[in-house]
Amino acid sequence: MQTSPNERSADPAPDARAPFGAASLQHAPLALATITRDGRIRHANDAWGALLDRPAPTLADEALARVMPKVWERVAPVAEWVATHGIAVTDLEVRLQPQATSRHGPAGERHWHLDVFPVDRGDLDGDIGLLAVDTTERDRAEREIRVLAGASELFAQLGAREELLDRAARLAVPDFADASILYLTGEDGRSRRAVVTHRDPETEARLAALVARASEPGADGALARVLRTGVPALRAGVTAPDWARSAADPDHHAFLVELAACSAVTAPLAIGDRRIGALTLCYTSASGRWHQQRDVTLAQELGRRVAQLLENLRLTEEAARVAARDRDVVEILQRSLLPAALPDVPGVRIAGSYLPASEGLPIGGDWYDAVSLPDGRLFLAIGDVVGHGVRAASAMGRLRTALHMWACEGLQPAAALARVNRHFGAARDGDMATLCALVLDPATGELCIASAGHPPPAVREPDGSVRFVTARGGPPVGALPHAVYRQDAMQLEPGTMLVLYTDGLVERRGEPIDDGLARLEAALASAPSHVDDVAVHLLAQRPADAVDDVAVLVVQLAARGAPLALVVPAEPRALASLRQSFEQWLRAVGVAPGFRQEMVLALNEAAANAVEHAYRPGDGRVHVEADLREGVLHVLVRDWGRWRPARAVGGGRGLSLMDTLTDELTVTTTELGTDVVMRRALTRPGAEPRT
Amino acid sequence: MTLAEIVAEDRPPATVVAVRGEVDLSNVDVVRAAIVDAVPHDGHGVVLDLSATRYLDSSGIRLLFELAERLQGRRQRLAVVVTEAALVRRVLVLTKLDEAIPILADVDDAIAVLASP
Repeated sequence: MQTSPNERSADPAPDARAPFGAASLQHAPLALATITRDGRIRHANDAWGALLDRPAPTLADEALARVMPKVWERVAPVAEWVATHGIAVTDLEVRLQPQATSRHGPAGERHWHLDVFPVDRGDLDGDIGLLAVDTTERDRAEREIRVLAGASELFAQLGAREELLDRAARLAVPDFADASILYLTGEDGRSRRAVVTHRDPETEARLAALVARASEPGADGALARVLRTGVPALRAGVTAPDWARSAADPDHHAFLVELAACSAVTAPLAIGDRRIGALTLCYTSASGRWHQQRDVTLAQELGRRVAQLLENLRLTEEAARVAARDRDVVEILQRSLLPAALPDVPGVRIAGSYLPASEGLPIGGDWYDAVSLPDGRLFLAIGDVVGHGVRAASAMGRLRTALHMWACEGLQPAAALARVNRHFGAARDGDMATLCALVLDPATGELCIASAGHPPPAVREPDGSVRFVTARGGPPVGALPHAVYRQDAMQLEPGTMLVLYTDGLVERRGEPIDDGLARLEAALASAPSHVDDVAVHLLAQRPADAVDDVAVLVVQLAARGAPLALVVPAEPRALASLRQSFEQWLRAVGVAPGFRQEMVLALNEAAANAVEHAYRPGDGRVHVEADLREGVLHVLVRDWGRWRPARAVGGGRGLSLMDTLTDELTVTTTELGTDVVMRRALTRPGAEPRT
Repeated sequence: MTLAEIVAEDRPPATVVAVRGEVDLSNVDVVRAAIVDAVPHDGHGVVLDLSATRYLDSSGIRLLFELAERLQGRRQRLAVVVTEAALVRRVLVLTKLDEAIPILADVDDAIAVLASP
């Protein structure tokens, strides 16, 4: 049954109480139709007709399968069920390609949602109603939001640059493009890189290979214009001749051929006025779709977001580079500010340790220093510049250098502190430091100490008991330019361990310093016996929430009478320090001055022989051992070379001297080397040598 | 830090060369050269003042012998000054240098010895 316009106008006046009439629905903007169960159109309204570009009445009795195959495809499976059960099925999706084309290219695909519902005809053989809603716009809007949200998500995931570029390039694929190319320009504005993505992974791989070879993948005019002006470009209906025309070179052409774009939108990656690249979205001939003006707007928005993303990435990478460089600088600075190696003085073992603050830069104002003085004594210092970071570290460097120099001049601790204080305070930049300076004579155990407001050094006696040394001194340096400093003198027994530290070891926020000192006392009492292990042990005892930097210097006097063992390079220059070390050891074991001098003479001759004869210059080492056993001094000088048969140093006088100065002299030469053993009894203190 | 410092002073008829510091294998050549440079070809000779020499080993002793020989070739003489109790004096005695070269305790005495025939 068809409804004709004439028949329609003859309908009775509408009755509100009557069931919903067909006439009002005829012109409704929703597409409505009823079909038989086997798919023939019974009625269709005007909007439905418009879908097919035909007057609605002409559709009666048409097979839906013929005029709208896609719709029938979706409807057919459910039609029977709907009619039988009397229940509607809603939201079936159909994509329709309208038949109309225009000179602007094929019209875009339309998305429809179909509802299929039973129409009651009053008998068992019910018809089926179809309601179709065009959701194209709504779907597009959803997709746009999704794509833009994807761009925003990338901001939160600043990961590896390559991965980010790939994901940024891929954002619009496949919703708004079959392929997408992200161009990045360098400083000179010319294209430096292109990242290409495609909905098909294999094609993408081929394109990626071609892009890599193309020298100027973005050389085509449209891209250049976009980069120059910042105005996006839309190219629809692109064909093969266009590819050939755009190609900069054969490699570029090959890329364009593979890409086979039939439509492209290019938008700049812009940050304000700066253009850092461009994003091109393409539809390829495989899909045949074309972009439209609204796609340009989307591409522009994407371009803005991707640009921002890349800028963020650049800034993050820059910050990381600067941070790494700063860390390197800081490390080098820190290493140069602490002594490279602690002096090797016989009769004393020294170990130092520095732990930077746990927050901020790993550099601070704490330091330690140990200087071997010409007369064999040892200058020790520990200090703490107020503050943190680079400023404190540089003040520390100045202070350390000044103190080191005064120490080398042979100044006593109090005098050194006074000089340093004047120098430091004179700068008037408000820097202050606590400082403890000491001079230790390893041979006698004599200690001079002056403290400038610094925590008291800790001492562990040979019997294991621990005490603190409160010494005189003065105010922290830098506080009062003309302050007077005093010092104390004391005696340390052989085997005593001295620990210098900065307040980072004992201070803790909200805790009285006595608690920290008590902790240190206990830690030192239970610490291992070797200096190298003690510093580590003490640092490990710090509470977990300690944040300040810490410096620790551990010094231990050798136990009385410990044997001497030294290895020196077989060089003439090493002889002077060897004599000094041996003499110190002799003093420490309590040998009288005259005896000492003669033994040093004897040792020097043996060592000089080894130096001159045993090796080629710079080749080897000389090993020296000495021991005092039951009143007899034993000395061994060993080398691993071959004594040339030439005469000894001094024309034979050396050997003769050695012989005269000792009770027993034995020279044993083998293929492996030479041992010189000397023995002399102490029974003749300050003895005249035998003649 | 140099091990030894050489200071020369003209005290006619001699030249007084003082060696301050230590002399051992590492610097004996340098010391030799410095002393030789300081001694003019005229004059009666050299007074080698070792009173500030803290250390002298057998290579230094050999240097003294060589110096005496070289000066003799120029008809000049060598005298050595050391303090009585010094280790260096003991070394000179041990090596019998005192049998070949006059050893005095005082610079003026040494100059007088050189000047006498």
